Amino acid sequence: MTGQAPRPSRLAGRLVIAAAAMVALVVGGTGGLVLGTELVLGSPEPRDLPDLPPDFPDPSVQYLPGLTVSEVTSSLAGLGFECEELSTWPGAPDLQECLEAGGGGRLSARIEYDSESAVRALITSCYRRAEDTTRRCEDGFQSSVHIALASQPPAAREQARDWVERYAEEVAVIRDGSEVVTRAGEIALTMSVVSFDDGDAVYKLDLRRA
Amino acid sequence: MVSHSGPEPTDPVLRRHGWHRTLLVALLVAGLTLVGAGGAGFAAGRLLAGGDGPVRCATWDFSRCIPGLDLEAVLETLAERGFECERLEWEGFRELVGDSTESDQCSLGGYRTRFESLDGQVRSVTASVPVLPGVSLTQRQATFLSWVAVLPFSDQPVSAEAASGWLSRQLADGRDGRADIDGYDYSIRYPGQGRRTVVALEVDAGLGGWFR
Repeated sequence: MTGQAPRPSRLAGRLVIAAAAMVALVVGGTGGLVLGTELVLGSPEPRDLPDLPPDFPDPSVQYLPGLTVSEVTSSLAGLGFECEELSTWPGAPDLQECLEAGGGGRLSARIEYDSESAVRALITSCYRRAEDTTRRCEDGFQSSVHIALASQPPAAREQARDWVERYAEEVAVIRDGSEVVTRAGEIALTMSVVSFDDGDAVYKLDLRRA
Repeated sequence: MVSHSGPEPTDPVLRRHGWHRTLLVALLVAGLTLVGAGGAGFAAGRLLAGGDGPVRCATWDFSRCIPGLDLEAVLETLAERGFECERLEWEGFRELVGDSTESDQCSLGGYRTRFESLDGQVRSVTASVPVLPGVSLTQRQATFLSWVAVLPFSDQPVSAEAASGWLSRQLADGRDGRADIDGYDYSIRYPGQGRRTVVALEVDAGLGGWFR
């Protein structure tokens, strides 16, 4: 007879079938698994977003709480400062600079604000001569803490006062050109010092929302 | 029709048709097995891909995205709260295949958040708040980070609980940490020695799956 196939043994035939099944099992299983996990069946429906919690950040987080520009300027006026508005770049916060009348500009305060009831920062600078042993700088800083932290709990005001006292006294604690920062209540306090060769130094206390 | 010489196979099928028949049977068995295994594998795969975890983004590569997170709605919600958002779009090799990569950054005061997305599907979310070494976060800062942490799970209370629980434990410890929560890579980093810096939380859908 022509075209006759050779006759395999029964074992060999079953081995071939088993091998084919094994290969198909592995290939099919793996392929299916990869396809199943990787296939994108359309974009899922967008979920509804939950409402923002009440204490989620709002624009007030940029401003000193409970403070208005006129409160700050009148408090400063009571301490003998005279304030004037400075011109600023468009888009930048408005500025008022307050100088101690007759103080030779050694103690100054700067108010950054967006509107009457939106005060961004109160920054007090003090130029201290090397031989100056008065409490001019310390008192100026304590006054600004008193003004800016008016609405904070007593414990936070106390903490801020102690902190300012400590750093205003210990010049060496602050590395020249660097700054120290703390938080009292909702207010961040930053003090920095730049000193000059002759021992004079400029202290700066920046008070703004933490 | 069939010549009978040599040892006789006892299997009637093989005996009659030899290798042709064997191959045919093997092919049939292989085909059935392939379909069966494929179907079973596919079903198992769908099951694996389901759940609360990230899914493959509808893009050509293997990136994972946060399913159902509506980027535009999130940005709108933040903008309504006073956040200022800006979008950076990257033009790279993805342009060639019609995909786009966006990065949306929103900030208000010291509160910042960033969304990395592919074709509008969010791949990772980062949030940061300013913090001072040794000073714990304010309640508002914790609320902000927690809101971001549960963004992937707004309709999955159990997973949301796991994410916010992990975050509050990390914040209580005040230490860096990393966790896998339902397939998302959560990490939180505290500042080092620097003085004015941030706590950053990152939620990353990552590559996931076979490539994790």
